[in-house]
Amino acid sequence: MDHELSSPPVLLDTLPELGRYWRFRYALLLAIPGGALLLLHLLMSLRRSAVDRPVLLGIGLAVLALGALLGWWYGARRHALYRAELREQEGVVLYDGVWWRSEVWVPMARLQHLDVNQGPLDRRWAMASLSLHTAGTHDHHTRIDGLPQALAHSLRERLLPRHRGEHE
Amino acid sequence: MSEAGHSAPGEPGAAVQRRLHPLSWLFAIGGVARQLLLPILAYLLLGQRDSEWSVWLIGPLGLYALWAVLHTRSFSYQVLGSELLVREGLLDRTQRHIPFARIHNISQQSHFFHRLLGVTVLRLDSAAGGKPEAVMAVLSLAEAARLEAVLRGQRAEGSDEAAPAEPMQASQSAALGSDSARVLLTLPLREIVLLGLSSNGGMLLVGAFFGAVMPNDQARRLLGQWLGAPARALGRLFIDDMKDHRWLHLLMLGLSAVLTALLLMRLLSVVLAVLRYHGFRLELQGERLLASHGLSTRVRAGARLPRLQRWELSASWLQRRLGRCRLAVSVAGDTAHQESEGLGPAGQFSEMAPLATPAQAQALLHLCLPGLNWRALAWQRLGRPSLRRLLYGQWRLALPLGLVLLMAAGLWRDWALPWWGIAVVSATLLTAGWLYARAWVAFSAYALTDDVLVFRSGVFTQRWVIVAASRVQTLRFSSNALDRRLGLVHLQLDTQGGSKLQRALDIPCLERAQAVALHQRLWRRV
Repeated sequence: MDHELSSPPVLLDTLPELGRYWRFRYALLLAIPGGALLLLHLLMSLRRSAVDRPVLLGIGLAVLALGALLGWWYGARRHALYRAELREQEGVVLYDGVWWRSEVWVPMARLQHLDVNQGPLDRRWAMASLSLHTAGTHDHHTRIDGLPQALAHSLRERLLPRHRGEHE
Repeated sequence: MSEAGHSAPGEPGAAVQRRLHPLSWLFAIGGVARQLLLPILAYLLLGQRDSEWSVWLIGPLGLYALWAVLHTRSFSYQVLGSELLVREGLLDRTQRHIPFARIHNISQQSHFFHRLLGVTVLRLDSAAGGKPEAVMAVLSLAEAARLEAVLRGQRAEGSDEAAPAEPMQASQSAALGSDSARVLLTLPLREIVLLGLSSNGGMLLVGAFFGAVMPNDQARRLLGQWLGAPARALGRLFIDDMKDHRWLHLLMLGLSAVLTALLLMRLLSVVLAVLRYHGFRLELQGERLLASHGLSTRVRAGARLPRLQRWELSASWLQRRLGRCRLAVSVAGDTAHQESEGLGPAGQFSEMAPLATPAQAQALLHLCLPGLNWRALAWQRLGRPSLRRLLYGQWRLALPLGLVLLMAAGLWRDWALPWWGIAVVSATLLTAGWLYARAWVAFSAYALTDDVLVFRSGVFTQRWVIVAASRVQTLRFSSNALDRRLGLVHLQLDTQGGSKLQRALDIPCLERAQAVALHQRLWRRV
């Protein structure tokens, strides 16, 4: 929802490595069906089955290429649409999704605790993800991926809840 | 863990170390025996094939009984100033210091046997929810009342500073002065019978019964033996009718069978409602709501007013004909494990009124949310494209299903339906879907006051979901490609407590401008 609120949003830039990671991840994920067909072809050629193998090989390669391309496009698109904003003294907004898009507004006053996580690839690229936890039941966990490590830590310091017991 | 409490008691006489009721071990064993009841019953009824089996069971059961006795003997508690010290454990002893301020909910539950012996189970919950802080099984009624009074007396002082900015502050502090309970709602027997008639408890129970029996081989055989003869007789009657072409008789027989089943279900629902809600009583004690109900199992559950998060007023078709509705509530820290009505988890406060007239329900709501004036709510309808959105949504599901059916009909040529049959069925379904969507859109609306957001929806069962903006944890807007094409967006709010399966409030089909306006006003209040 874009409208005028008291404080202007500060865009939290995510690293381009996040886009690279997503492109490879979704390409690999969507290449699995094609890969399975190719594996089937391999097994059949080992057992000399009567099935028309060149057709299976062709279909397998086509599905593999199509899946990988679709995954590549999806990863790139998700990264292009992925956006996190900090609203000073108010909270954090996260925009995510390609077909099903969501926009999560987490108020600062509701934050319970914050985590900074880093996987092996994150460490290699000096990247980190910041998890925001509220006391809610359903959407109590919001994660901002692909932040530069220093930014994730400084954000964590800035958002850290200071006035405990402010609300019920 | 310090033992300092022993030498420096908060008040003289209060620091006595107390134990559970002397009969506690009986209920500890009873708990195990109840879980073994079904297999043992099935075993006894299905005949003794090898009786040595039961001998093997005596050893472990005896050991367990001994452990239960020792464990209940080892449980002790002590009031120290402003905290409760609980000691338990045989081999690994635990000491827990529970500050009174941490206890947010005190509930009592007593089964039939508990009440026979004049004892009760006292359960203390903290704000975090999940595992209770302490479960005292069992205490004498007098001791439970004394302990509850001690914990409550301290609680009232500690809680006020913890919640300074609650909207209902004025009414709370006024109510805090008087310690005597004010009865808000009672259900006479007639209302409870109405509640049973308008609920599906019987159906749920039958479902649960089959769910429990079917996986168990012995129990299933037993059920087969009991139900076999009448089912076969009924089946023979049907087949004879079909052979003799007595269509009218067959029709009457079928109708009466369905009616009898429905009647039995409703009767079962009434019995269940009486068992569960007999003597229902909702009281206000200070700022604490207390509900007690139940015939064989007496439950007493409570919640503090500031901890209520979300209210849901619902009225099924039958309830609307009877001029009644139901007011459910979710409390911070309580996570509903079982959703269905009538099967709520023990000791959780989930219903303010199982059945009430709309006026009563509105009065209760006003008590919780003084800012809410039901009559003056300015209802706003959902966006104009929402009807199209619902219809496209239906077709999106119906189209693949229809295609699959057509393919199936094409594959099995002998079974293929005549084309006019398919046309009639699909036309009926599409019309029904259209009527449903139209009724849904006609009723759905939202209203926002200073602090409260209300959303109403539903066709057969109508629901009004009420959330206070100051309790909202996160705001979420979501949309799929179809929503965006029609300029619609979902608004989803999350609060503490309640079900994990659904969000506290989900308004679908909001127009973008409506969503922006709502968001602006909500975000400022959060």
